[in-house]
Amino acid sequence: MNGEYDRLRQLLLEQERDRMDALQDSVGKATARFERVPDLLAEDIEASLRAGKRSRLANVLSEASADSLEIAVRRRPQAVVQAVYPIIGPAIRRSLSDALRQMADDLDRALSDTFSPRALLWRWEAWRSGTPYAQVMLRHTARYQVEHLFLIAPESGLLLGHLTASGLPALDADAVAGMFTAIHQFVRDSVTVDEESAGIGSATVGGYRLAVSEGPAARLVAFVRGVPSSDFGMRLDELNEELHARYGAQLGEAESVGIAGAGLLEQPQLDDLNSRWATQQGGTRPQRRKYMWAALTLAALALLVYAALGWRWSSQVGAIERHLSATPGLVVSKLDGGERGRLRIEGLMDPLASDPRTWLAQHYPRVEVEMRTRPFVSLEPQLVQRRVAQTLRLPEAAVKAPDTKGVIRLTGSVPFPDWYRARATPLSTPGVIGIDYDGLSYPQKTQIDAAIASIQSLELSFLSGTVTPDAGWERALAEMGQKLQALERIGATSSIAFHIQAAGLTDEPGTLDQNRGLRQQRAEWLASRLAAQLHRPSTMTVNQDAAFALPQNASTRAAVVTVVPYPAPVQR
Amino acid sequence: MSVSLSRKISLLGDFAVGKTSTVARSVRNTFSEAYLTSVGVKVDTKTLPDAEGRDLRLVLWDIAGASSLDQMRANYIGGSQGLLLIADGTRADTVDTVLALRDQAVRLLGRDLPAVLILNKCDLAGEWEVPPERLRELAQRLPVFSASARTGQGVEEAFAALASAVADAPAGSKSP
Repeated sequence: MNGEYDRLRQLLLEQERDRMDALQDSVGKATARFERVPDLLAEDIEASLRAGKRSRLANVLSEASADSLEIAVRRRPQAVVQAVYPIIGPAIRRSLSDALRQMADDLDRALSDTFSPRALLWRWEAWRSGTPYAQVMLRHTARYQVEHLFLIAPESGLLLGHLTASGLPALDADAVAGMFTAIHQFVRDSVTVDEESAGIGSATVGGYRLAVSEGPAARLVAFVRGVPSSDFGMRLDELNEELHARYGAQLGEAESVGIAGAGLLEQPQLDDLNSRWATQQGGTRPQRRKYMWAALTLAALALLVYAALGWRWSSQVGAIERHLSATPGLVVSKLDGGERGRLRIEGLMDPLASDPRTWLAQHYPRVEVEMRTRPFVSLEPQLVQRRVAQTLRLPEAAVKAPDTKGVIRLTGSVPFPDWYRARATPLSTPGVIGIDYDGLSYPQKTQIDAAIASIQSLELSFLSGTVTPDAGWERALAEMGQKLQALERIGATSSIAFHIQAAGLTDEPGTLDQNRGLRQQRAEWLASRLAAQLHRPSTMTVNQDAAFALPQNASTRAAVVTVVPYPAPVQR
Repeated sequence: MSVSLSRKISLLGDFAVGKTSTVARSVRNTFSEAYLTSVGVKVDTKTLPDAEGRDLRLVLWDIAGASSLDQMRANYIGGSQGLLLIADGTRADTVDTVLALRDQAVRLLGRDLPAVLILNKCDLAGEWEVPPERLRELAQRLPVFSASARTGQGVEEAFAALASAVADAPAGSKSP
């Protein structure tokens, strides 16, 4: 029964069963193909990329991806930001840190240069040329030199290019590039936590500053001597980008294929990295240096001259001080020579002291002197001598310095009026006890003194108790008269006149009145007779003092004369 | 412009097998050995003529000895175009170590690369531990040289063999 049923079913459904088996097989195959769809799509995209042309699927996917991203940004911006933040964040941070460092460098430089003379000069130059000050400052301060430039394969450390500034010793560029790469990797693995900014970005080694520009296929490393401008890193990046743009995949292939990399760097690139100032001014730098040395030499010479002048002025002040200290009648309390060529003297000065300005004008005519002194009387011998000479109106040569007892001796020959005045002038000078006139004379003094002595030795005798002269009085009177006239003649040649005084002499006998009368009468007797023989301006007088004097042990009954020379009055 | 090739060679070996001593007398030393202890690597160069008469500059990365490549050493061997393997012939285990290092390097780099093995301290014949059959086995796998850092024996030959091997490899760079 069952067999029939099965056969019936087979007859009725066999065709349907075959069709279902075919469908099931088809579904199985389709399922298997769907499972390979991702691989097939990926293979299609990879094949199109290798072929360098985009397939329809790639175009559709790129358009769809772009549209999806646009929609996602519009609808869920926060989610997109969170998704891309790990990529963009480090880039933004690096950009900000570079910008802040550059701004800090610029600010530091601007502050340090703002008030310097050099900055003022730059401001003037900027004003004159109409160029912004910042540009002028940058042009002047960018003094550095890129001495080595390495282009290095990042992974292997192999050298892709190397340039060295002229004049530098050769180095093992391969070893340096390799060691730098090793250290770079060491730093990256050891101390950095941020993969995006890993490795050495810049460093300072001795006098070098290392600037590094990272590229996907090459690392550009500059060894800079000096302080590069703040935009140097940016220029290094630009050069690296230029190299990547120029050589592209060739850079990446260099380390895997090993046929490229030689000469990828060119000398103009190194020159361009060096400061524009250094490049443009290279020809004039020696000239400027020459001027600088000339200026320094001049400054040194000026300094030397200044020092020499200062030393000379100090020597002059010292010499002047020594001279002033030795000047009689001058006591210097302050000598100010602080300003070269100007001298200020303060102290005490005797009015009779030599004026130091005269000496200074003679020996230091270019020195301007200001004197502030107060007068005082100096007892120095030289000043005492000068003061006596001035008082007696004698030449200083005729007055000797006071001796230890304070006595001043007059010496020499002076005109008779000066001699006469010196003897007649009373003297009261500090430091002087007495005057010795014996050494002072005048012309013909010896002759006149002899004549006066001869006249004063003559006597005209009288009889006792009378005014009657003894016999022979005529001859004695004539001799006295002749000698007086001769004296007048001698004196006349030198304008010397004579005061003649007649005095009477008596002996002891007789009363005082009688004798005084006799002396008076005898003097008058002689004076009256001699007066007739004298000539003007000589004078004849009676010595009244002698008449009234009380004679002691007197035994002479006579009349005598005394002669005193004096300057003859000027005839009008 | 003269043309020369440069190749990066990594020196691998266990501790105290004499890597630095082996190459020291035949390379251009630029940096102090202090870098080995501080940074873990020292880079020297050696220039040899290749078969075509060009200068072949071997940039030798002397990596501090270790029994395995840690992360830092792994970074140092990046971009290598040849390996100079150095073992101590008086310590048989260092041969196994350097071969393991080579295998690790190949795995890290993702490609096979020329290598030369130097068995150092051949002047210490009495202490030699590597049997001849082991040497024959090694020689079938890669060029093997018995050398002495003390006498210099075999070193230049090893370099010449390595230079010949890496010169033809598609890697390196030309310099001006």
